[in-house]
Amino acid sequence: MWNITRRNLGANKIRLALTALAIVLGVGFITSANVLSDGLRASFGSLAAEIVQGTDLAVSRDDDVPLTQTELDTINNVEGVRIAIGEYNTDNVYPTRADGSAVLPEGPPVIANSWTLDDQLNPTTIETGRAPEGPGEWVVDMGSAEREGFVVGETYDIIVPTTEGLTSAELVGTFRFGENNQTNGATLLAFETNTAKELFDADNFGSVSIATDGSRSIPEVQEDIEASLADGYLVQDNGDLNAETTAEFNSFISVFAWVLRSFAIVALFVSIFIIANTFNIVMSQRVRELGLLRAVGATPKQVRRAVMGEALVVGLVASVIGLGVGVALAYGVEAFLNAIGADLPDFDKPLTLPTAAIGIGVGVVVTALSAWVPSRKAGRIPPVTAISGHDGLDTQVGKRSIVLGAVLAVAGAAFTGVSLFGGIDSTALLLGLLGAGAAILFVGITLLSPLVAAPISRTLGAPIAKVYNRPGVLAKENAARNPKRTATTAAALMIGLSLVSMAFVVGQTLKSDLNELLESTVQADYAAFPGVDGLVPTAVADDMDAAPELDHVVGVKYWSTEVVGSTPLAEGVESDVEVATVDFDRIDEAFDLNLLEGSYADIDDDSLAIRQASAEEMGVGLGDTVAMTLDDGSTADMTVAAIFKDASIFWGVLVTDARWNTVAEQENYDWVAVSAADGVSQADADAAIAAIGDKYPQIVSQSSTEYREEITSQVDNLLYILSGFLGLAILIAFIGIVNTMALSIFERTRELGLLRAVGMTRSQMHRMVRWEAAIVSGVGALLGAAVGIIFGALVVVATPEEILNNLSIPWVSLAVLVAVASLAGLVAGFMPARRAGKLDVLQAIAD
Amino acid sequence: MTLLEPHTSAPTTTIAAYAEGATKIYGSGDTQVTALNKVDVSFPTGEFTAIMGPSGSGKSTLMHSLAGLDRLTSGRVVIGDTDLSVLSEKDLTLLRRTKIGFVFQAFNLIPTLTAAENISLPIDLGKANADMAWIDEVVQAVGLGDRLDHKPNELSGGQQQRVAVARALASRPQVVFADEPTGNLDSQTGAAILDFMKRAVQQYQQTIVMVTHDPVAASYADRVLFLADGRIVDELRQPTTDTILAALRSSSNR
Ligand SMILES: Nc1ncnc2c1ncn2[C@@H]1O[C@H](COP(=O)(O)OP(=O)(O)O)[C@@H](O)[C@H]1O
Ligand SMILES: [Mg+2]
Repeated sequence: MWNITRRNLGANKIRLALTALAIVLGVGFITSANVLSDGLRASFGSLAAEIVQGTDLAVSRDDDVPLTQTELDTINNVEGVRIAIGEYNTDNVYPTRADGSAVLPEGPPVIANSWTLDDQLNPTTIETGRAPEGPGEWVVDMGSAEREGFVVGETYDIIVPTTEGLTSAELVGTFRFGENNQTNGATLLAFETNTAKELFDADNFGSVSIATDGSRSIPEVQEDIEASLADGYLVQDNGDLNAETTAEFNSFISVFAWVLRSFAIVALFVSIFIIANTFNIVMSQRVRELGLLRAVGATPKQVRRAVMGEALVVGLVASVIGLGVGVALAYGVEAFLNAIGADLPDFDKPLTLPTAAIGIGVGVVVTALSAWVPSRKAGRIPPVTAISGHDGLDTQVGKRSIVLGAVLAVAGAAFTGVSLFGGIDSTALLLGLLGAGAAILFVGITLLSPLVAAPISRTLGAPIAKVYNRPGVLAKENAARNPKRTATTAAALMIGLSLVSMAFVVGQTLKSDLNELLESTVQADYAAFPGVDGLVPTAVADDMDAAPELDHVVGVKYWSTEVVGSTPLAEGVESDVEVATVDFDRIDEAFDLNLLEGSYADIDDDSLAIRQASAEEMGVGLGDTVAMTLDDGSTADMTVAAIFKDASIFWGVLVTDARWNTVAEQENYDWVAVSAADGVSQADADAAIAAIGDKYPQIVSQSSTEYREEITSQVDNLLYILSGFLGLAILIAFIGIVNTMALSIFERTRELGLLRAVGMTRSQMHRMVRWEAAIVSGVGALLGAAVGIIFGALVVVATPEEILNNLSIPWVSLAVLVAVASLAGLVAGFMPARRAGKLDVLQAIAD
Repeated sequence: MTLLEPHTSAPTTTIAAYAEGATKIYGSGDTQVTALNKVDVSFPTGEFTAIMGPSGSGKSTLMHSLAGLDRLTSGRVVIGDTDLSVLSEKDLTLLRRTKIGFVFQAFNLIPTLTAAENISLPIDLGKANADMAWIDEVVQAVGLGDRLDHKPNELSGGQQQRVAVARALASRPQVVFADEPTGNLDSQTGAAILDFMKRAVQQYQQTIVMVTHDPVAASYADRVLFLADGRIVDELRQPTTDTILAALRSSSNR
């Protein structure tokens, strides 16, 4: 039988190539995810090693509270310690360029440190100029200096997290980080230690690094340091540090890799449909030959094996090619991610043994799964087929597959339902259930979809039949003639498009909910945000207050702390809520929180306003008391003096500024709401806002429409990225359409010959085939959009009302999506159409 | 004019199609086969011609060349007043659509179209307005009644061939070519098809060229051409089954 497998492989090259292509792409994508994560891991691993290079030991506290000078002195007194240095570091300091624009961490971070005076502990070396020695001086890494145009000797504004928000300092030197200044795109800057402490607004050390003097072994020194400090301190050696830093990078990289992998899994899942469909069609075209095998004595098992063997060879070869494609794709994904602003460092794209093994394993398993049903069918072909040529396999929609489809659809829906509404806590379990449920549901829908494939084809084809007359009618009827085939071919597209449509529906709902809520809640004309993570200095609010064009300035600060009401909390349930402060005298000038009970005027330092949903969770009402944990660990009893509804800007409790200072150590604002002063024109107010923006380059000031649009466009961007990644599954779906069409053309040789003989021109035949492909695509797109809308609606219902509330379906976008996907079928039909057109009429009718 | 009324006007002498020095050579060198060897033949309008000959004698090749499905190695074919040898691929297709009708031995119909749609297919492929009265007449003549709206797989073999003949007549072509149209049918059903074709010739002066192996089928024709080794070797006018059998016997003895 092996011989037959080999012959068949040789005889059907194009068909094989098309089948293999789906596997190649699927394996390619999963391989690229692994290649990227390996490459990034290696790249960030060497970065981690350089960061901790000279550090023998480091001390921190278990609870991450910064260390003080007292502890530093204790450590310095341990025998064997040459020097222990406390460092200040922050990611809230950004230099501005000569043109006043800020170097912000849009991608790689911007990290500021105190300059380490010890050569061993300092992972950097001065390249030009000198080290910073006092106030008003700074240094930057040489790569960033070149990239951002910083010149030694010049003075620059530096954005700092103090209440002033800005300071100016002279660049006195540049330094090299590690051997090659490989910072992976990060910008590193440093200040003299006391200057850093002041500018970073830091009281204590971010980290303490220790160099030993060599008189004792490092473990001995480590032990003594541990002994000299109280409980709750962590003393790590270089290896621990390296591992910790690497682990931090890795956990980030692995999230990223799993996102990529999940798209690859969708693509592979779609491939299963394509490959199974191809094998199915091929099987029905080869019934005579397979029947002959049976007639001359092959057992059903041997026939099954021959078919399976063919599939496995295809799977193996395609997977190997997929590995190569995966590496190439890794460069593509890198470029794509960089294009959308990820700004990744240069890194290798290694194809490791595990990556290769996973790729080949996945490819072969997927192919084997796909070929399983067709091979069983092939085994059932009766020997008499050799003579009759009739396959004895029903091409019509069987009752059994409908029943099975219904069962699977219900089971899949149940799985999905349990995962969405079952209150499952484990994310992994939830995602697993959701994925499995969706997969089963898709298989069920695919088995059911032949019921509607023909009517949908005819409906979609009706206008085409009108426009193109007979070729159009034939396109329509050809799409409808084998509902099972059309349905399975369209299934892949349905899956891809249903995911995109679902995202569209959820995204649209999110956008419209947010928009509506913000519009009714925020009365202010403008909002000033920190451009990146960080805060708005109080000086900004002061300047706004001072500007005659502006008024109604309300700064907002957020923190999070434990607030416990009367309802006992279940084990392990998070009791932290958001605590915010605003000026209650002015709150009405900027916000309408939809106050339900109580009044802002009643709020004093021992009472608070609480969001309705939070109050319900805690089981408290107006006048009840909650216990709020303060900065020093003690709790304060707070009376509920007001209850509000808002869930767009405030999510927990609101307290007075005095109370705030006992909860959080934050003077600056998270954002500031401001409006034009009464009687001031919008243009004048805009100008005043712009002037403040110029002064504080770290601040982004937006009008109320601007920031609503920005939030909307962020959701849109997310949708585009998602669609981009799902594009691979959609591409594979179109390959499936090309494949099926090519096989159908082959099957209909005789009929096409007849059409040409009685006067169908080549271009009419092209049109007929291409529109058939478009109609099949249309069936997939339409079903996909329908399923996607249902999924999206379910997600909206399952998500708490505060996040997703009023289902909003983007009909226009979905219609465009369906139209574009259908018309893309015209492109998919191009190759099969050309083959049909090239058909030798004489040969076709002579067979 | 209806199909029931016998055709009485004098036979016309115009030529519907002819071939001049038609030569078709397949392959080259040792494997070269001369399928048609300088054949001169003409088909007067309103005549029913049968072509007979042993297997491999060139019948199909001649018919395909006449019908614009295949190109000659040398010589020329003229349909009406159009020389096929100078036509582009597209013009040949349009000529087949408007000037030529086809009936094959089997697989004559498009399975996705109804009988009625199959009949009007060549006309529907074009933009020209159909002669609806004529189509109605042809459709009536097929005698399918309410089965006209059925798909081919719901029709018997004889019904399918009748639809095929109607399709060939629908565009009022210059010539209808039929390649063993009754080859797959039992003799009774075949006779009905042949009657149908013969009436088309008599009543509408339709020109029909039919390839057949069956002397009974050939006897429906006005004349029979005998082909051997790519040449026309004999011709019989107003044939009967007996004269055809005799001619076949003598040609095979030659
Ligand atoms: N496509 C072809 N290639 C090579 N030889 C051919 C081809 N078609 C027909 N022939 C040869 O041409 C001769 C005439 O064939 P054909 O016209 O089919 O004869 P008939 O229809 O009378 O049986 C035969 O010898 C046949 O083998
Ligand atoms: Mg022949």
